[in-house]
Amino acid sequence: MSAAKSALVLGAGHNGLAAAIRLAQSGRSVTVLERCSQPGGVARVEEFHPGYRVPGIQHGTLGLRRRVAVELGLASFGLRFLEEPAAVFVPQLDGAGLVVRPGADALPLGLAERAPDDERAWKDWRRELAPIRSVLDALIDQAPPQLEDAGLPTLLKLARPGLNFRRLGADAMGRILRAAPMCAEDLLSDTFGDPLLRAYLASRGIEGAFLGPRSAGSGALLLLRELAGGNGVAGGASALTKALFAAAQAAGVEFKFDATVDALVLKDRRIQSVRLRDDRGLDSDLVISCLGVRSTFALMEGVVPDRERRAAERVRARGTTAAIRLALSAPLRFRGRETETFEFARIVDTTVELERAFDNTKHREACSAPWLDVAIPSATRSDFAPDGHAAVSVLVHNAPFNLDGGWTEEQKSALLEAVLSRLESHTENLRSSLVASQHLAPTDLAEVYELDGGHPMQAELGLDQLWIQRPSVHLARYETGVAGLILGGRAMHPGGEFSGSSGLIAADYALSTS
Amino acid sequence: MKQSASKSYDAIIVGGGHNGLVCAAYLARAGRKVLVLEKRHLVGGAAVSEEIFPGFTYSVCSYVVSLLRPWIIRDLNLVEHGYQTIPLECSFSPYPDGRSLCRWSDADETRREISRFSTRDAEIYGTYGATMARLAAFAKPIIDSPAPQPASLDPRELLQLFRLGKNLRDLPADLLEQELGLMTMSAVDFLDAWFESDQLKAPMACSGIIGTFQGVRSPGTAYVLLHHYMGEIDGAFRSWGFARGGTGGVSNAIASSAQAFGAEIRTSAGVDRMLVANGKCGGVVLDSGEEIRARTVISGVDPRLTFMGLVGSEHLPDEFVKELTRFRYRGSSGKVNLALDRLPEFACRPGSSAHLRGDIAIAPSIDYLERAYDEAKYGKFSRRPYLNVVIPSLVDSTIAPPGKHVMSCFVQYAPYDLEGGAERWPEQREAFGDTVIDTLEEYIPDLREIILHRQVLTPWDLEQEFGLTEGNIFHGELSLEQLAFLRPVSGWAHYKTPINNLWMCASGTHPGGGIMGAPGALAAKAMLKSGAL
Amino acid sequence: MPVPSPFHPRTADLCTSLAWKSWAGIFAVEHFGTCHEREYYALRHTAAMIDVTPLYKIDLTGPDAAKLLARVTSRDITKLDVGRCTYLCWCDDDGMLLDDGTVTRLDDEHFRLTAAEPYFHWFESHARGVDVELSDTSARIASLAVQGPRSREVVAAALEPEFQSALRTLPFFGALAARVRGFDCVVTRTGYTGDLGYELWTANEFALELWDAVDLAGFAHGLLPAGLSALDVSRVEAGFILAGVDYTSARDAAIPAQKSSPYEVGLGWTVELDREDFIGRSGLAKSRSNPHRRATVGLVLDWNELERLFEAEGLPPELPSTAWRGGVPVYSASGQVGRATSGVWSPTLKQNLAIGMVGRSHAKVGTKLEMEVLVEYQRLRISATVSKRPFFDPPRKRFTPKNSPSSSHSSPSGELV
Repeated sequence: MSAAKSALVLGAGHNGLAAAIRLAQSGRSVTVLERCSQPGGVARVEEFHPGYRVPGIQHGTLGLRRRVAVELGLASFGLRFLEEPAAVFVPQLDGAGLVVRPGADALPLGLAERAPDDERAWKDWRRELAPIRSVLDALIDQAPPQLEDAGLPTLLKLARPGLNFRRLGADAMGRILRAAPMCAEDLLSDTFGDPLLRAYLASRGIEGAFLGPRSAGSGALLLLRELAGGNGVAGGASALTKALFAAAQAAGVEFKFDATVDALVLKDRRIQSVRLRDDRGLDSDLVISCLGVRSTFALMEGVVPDRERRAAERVRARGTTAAIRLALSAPLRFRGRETETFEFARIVDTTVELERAFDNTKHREACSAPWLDVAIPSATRSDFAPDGHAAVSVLVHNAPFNLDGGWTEEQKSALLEAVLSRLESHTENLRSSLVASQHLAPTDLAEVYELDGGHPMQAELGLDQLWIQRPSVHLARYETGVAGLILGGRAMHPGGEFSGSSGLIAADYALSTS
Repeated sequence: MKQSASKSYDAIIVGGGHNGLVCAAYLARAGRKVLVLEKRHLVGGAAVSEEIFPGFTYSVCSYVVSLLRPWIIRDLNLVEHGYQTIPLECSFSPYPDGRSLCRWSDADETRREISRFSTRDAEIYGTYGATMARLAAFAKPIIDSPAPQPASLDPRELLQLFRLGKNLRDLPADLLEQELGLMTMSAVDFLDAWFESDQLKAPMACSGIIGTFQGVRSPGTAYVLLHHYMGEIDGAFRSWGFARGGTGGVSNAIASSAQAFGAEIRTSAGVDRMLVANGKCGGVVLDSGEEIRARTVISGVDPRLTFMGLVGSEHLPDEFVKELTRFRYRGSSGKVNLALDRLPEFACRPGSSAHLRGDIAIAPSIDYLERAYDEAKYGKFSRRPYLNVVIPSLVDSTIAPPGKHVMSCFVQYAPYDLEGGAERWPEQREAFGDTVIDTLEEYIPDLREIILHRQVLTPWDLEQEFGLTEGNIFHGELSLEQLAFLRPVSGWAHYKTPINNLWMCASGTHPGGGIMGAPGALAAKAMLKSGAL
Repeated sequence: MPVPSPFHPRTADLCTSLAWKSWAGIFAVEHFGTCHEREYYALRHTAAMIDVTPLYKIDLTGPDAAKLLARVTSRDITKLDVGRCTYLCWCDDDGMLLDDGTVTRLDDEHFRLTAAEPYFHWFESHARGVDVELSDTSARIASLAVQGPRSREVVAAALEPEFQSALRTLPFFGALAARVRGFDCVVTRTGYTGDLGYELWTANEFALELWDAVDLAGFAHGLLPAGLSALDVSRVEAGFILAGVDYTSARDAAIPAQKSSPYEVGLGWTVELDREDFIGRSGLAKSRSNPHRRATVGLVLDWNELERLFEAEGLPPELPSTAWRGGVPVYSASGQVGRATSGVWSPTLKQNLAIGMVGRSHAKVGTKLEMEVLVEYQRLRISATVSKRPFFDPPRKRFTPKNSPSSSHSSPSGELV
């Protein structure tokens, strides 16, 4: 009797679920080990106050690639792409603000009135960027090529995107090659006049990165996000989790919840087994770890491959995000937009302010005016807050993991106060309707979601930690140097915001090499 | 309008900076009739020595040499013409807590010094240097040849690209990691992967930001680390040195060589504009009104001055002008030159002066350097700046009276765009100078007492006096998007311009700034090869 | 500027030639007198004392000390007994040689590793998850080598009486925790001369006393202080390779071809592969099972041919009396097959010797090759025959008396060559 070969997946977040489904599709007998009692990872639904829920720290699903949804058959489990990205309100203290659809060609609402020249500029910009999409698509949906000892097949593989790129024509190529290393500040001041639009777009270049608008690489990230995002799914991150989980179960994947991994037992550079905290050992010759890279290496027991270990230690993951959850007894209304319901808002002011805020972060200081991502999941999910109430999730972006003096209660309270002050200047009824709040400093995020450095992406985004260098040249191909132990989490290409892609590509890679 | 009497030239070079002089020398060597026109009373551009205070010769702007290409030195017989360098012996860094670090060419001594801060760093330091040397060797060919052109369909260009790609691919695994990192990381992040002690990383990180408007934590600055690591004098890889007689000695040697080959050089002959008609450039008009004609005109000044100042945007294609406006300058540095009554003494390492015979970095920590940059982003000069100081009179007896000294301080950051406008610089000049002295006094307590004379150059002064747009010493930011085939503008990175018979030969072209001479030489070669001359 | 070793007050007084060099940044004597021969002959005929403090030392203590060493070096150190030393090497994770050195087990949970280059942080970086404390004791331990046919008597006489018997019966590569004039001193029967010999290790503050004790003990036996020139002659005679000269550490290699596996350097015998995983194991296994690209060989150079070449110029043969190091090509009939990197005229063997690395197919003992020599500025060649290493290997090197005779200077010390 030949039993199906087994496989273990560590982590039941989106990447873990995607990897598990793929492995099961290929005939493996898959077990997913999850520390918590439910799937979802950073997107797992949490009741932060009785009756109020948020989908972890994942606000959107814009990064979900069609390929992932199609290949994992998620439509049959109720997953539906939206027609267009959900609107994001970018308020302004003394003005009407903008309403944007992230990554879409659609002109931001309010832009034409604010800055007529920018309407033309926007259209030109989207038109110039459009051809790059195909090049990016090829890169995002596949494993990065092997640069070292590359034979002809790999060179050709590398050449294809190169050739596509060249086909864009000299002018376009020159423009892109010039824009790629630029900082968002320069790129945007070359293109647009409206300060609020610039600030919003600049924020798309620094999110998840240890960068300010004047840092090189923020231009590339901005372009990446503008071009590589999708429309997101109805029901958001929790709907995605649900569909993935259902698909996994349907594929025969077994789940062990409340199972904490204690060690990855190696023997002669092969994975032998996974030992759980309760001392149970599970043998397998294929383990895909969707935990952080540093965490994965820290779990290894035995002689660890030297080069990969050093590379893992050098992966930079300096978290700069804190999460604040607010339970409100009334819907959150924005000034000047009281009749409109927004599910998302981004609070930014100017690029100068973003830069100053990053200065604080760089120097491990608290920031008095951090920029914010606001999500109100209860706006589209009635089960996330009592009737007429609101559950609000705020991601605070200038909260350094290694704050000087540490994240004391005092510092956390100061952060909450800074957020409330900033928010209430844009909203009507914030403090009066505040029922309860929960704050998670980066150090808390590290613990609660097992994030290396408290970083939501498990590894910083940046020119030097992208694609063939994500999270390091020696680890970019999902290998750990230990046979049978594969990395498939958010730290791997293409990265955390492309929900499930890292896990899927890692699983494909593991299957092709096993 | 005065006409130049009968003389007609093959080429006029506008600007007698070191690249213009190199270009002139190569063209003259090839038998062409060349005229160099320099606005100031002496040649050299920013590589000049001047006796501002009697008895003391300042290297007014540039203060160390190393990157001058050895093949240029040989081709132009510069040694015969007086080019002589004296190596820097060490790199010294004092710290506010009374400690100090000095790195010497003696590896064991250096290891001992570093061990005082970190034994781990001491153990790996030699390997770091060797690795950077290997990487520099890989990057050298890029500097010594014209920029590769990815958009080109020319098979030769493609071959060069392919070769570059192949070289990259053939790099052993560990070097590949370093090379990719160098191209994309910040100086600090790159050094963090090697070393742990702040006191070692801070002075090392500085070479990544000299002359740029970037901080040591800005991605893209690791690359510049390598740039400065490629210094070569006398075959000793990676050594930096003083030119005898000050940096002007370099320019004078090149000028002498150019003249020996038959080039003509006129100083105090500023060019008011270029004669452009029907898309062709036929000559120049001097400030005096004198008109001089030539078959070709070559610009040895930066792109903005060339095209907006001397040509006029009305003669240029719109797209070109648009791209040119995006080419960034953003001068970030100033200079303070001091004449001293005696040798200054650092409180943290008094006594012998061996540690002062190299370069001295006031860069006590990475946070310090980053804060200095932060201030400049918002239009202020750093209250506590990064300083790169040299005392060349310790090894060059020709530049100061016996027992007295010249102290040259390169200062960063001094943003050209001061809050309120660049024109406010003159009124801030003395305050800026005072800041530098205040900073130095934290390490040299009695400095003020021994200063005989002080010259302060702000980015404004660099622009007004030396023709450096926005005071940028490299004729344009050395950031990734403004290098190689993108310098100064995509499609115009091979020394040609949209104007027929107008070429560029200075640091605003590949491979960029620093006293390399490569732009001037490569431009001359390109012109000769194209048959334009 | 090098710094003085703890023995400097003694060596400086004696070094009338002022011939110093820098060894790991520490002042080391090249030769005390006007030439090194006297010191060399003492080394081979009576005894010599050499300051070897510049060696790097790492002390490892704790329950997992042996485990860590087994994980990082080429040997299964868990099998090393207390009171024993072993010669070994360590490699990077690709199995390329980093350095060679010696490990001594001083106690159940106390080991000392010595090496020519600093590797403290290399070892420390592998200590995650193991219960061990590492200490860089390079600057705290002074070390004296006492080598030569009389060295047993000399060292015994320097120790306090209760340790003398143990010293006399100390086996080859044994270690003894002893005392000298009231202070602790570890004695290992190790050395770099290929002869009978010992190395003495003590804390810096006792260095001078140790020197004096050994000096006094050696007086009756013709002990002389010797410098590095004499040491180098003896080590080439012994056929020992020198890191940085006869091979390049993978850490310092500028190109992959400069790296070597231990098998190419003649250190394959120190590699214990058939055990639990350790750093470099799979690369080493590959090196072992594949034909080696190169091998390190001893070469005996034809003296008569050399003599004739000089004669043809009307010159007497000239050879430096000290060992040389560098690189000269080695040829077979088909062309260059390798290089010679160390060499010496052996006063004891009366032979012209060299150590080098050649393609494996030319490495069999007895193979006739040629080595380049420079005679009156002409590049010529002389026959070089591959020979076994060590060249000089006297029985006294390994011999240990069964019991300790009471008188010290009539014990058999082994015959001379």
